[in-house]
Amino acid sequence: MKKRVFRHRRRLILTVILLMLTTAHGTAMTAAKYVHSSNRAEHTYCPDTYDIPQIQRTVTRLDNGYCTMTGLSVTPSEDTDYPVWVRIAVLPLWENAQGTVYGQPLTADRDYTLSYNAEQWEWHDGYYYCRTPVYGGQATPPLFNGTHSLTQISTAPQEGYTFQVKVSAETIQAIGILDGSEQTAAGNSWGYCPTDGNA
Amino acid sequence: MRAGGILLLMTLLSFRMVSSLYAGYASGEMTGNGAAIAAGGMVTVAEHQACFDRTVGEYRLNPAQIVTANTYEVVVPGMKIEKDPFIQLPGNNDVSYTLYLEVTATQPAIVRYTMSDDWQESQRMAAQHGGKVYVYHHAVRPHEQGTITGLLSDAAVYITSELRDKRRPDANGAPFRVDMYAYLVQSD
Repeated sequence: MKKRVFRHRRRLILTVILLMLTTAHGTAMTAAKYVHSSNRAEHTYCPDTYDIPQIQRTVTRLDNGYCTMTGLSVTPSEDTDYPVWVRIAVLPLWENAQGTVYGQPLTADRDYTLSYNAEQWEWHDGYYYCRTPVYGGQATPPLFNGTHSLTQISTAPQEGYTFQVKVSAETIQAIGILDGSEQTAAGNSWGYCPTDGNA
Repeated sequence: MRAGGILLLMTLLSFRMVSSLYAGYASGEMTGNGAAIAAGGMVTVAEHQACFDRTVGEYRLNPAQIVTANTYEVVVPGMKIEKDPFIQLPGNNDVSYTLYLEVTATQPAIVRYTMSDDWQESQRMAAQHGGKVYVYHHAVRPHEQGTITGLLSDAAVYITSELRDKRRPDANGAPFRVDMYAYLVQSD
């Protein structure tokens, strides 16, 4: 009698194990689904660069010994692959051979005259902005063209000093906008962009 | 004794079937749901060739040329880059599938994109390449063929102001990548 009960239990246990294994097998079959992958679509982005722009100008000594500057254009580096805005700062000063700048600043129409090509350049807060973007290797139109120039009209207040004009040019990308806004790079960095006319 | 033999036989049979099921996809990678991946043939991700127009400083798409890789040699901060990835289905599927798209970005802070409303970010499938996984809102029916377009909400990606000059490769100035992979996962 005891032997029969034991056999029954053993059969029952074996049946349960068999059922469990069959279920596990079925589950494994169900979970394994077909998955098909595509190719990899590759998109590689290479940050660009920029170089210091070149400044071209012509300085002439007049019959009276004074100097005059004409031309004055800026050429972004050939490596610049996108259009850029250009602005120029022009600072006349008295300087000696040792590079010492005379303390008294020059005054327009007393020490020099300045008229510029307002058709293609605009003045804003100490800088002349080229009205149109230019490309790498392409020169801006001259700031002083035709009858326009920057001309010395007085002598130095102290011996040893001469009339000098410091010119600095800057360029900035004319494409792209600041994250999540409509602000240009020029508007953001320079506080002014010739296109929108505001900061 | 006889029951024990049957049990052993069934156990061995189960192991063999499960093993062979996986062995059939031995070259694939395991996904989160326990299946393996078969590559190629059923789904393709492509887009139109991007050409840089130096005069305006923008990328334009060439509608005549379909490619699976684009390289953007001129990238500057704040740039909007036209991009129209699409998924091609040749229709050689016998069962229904759910379509997933994985997007990986090596420098996620530099590039921004928005998926269209047809795609929802999903956790249902594990990312195979560490990217973000999106699920398409329609199932792919058996033998459905065609092209799914409009993956990106405004057909463009945006370069953020975090990008730096290429002379500073250690500070967001190195080349970076955004890759896409599509997956068809059997839904029946």
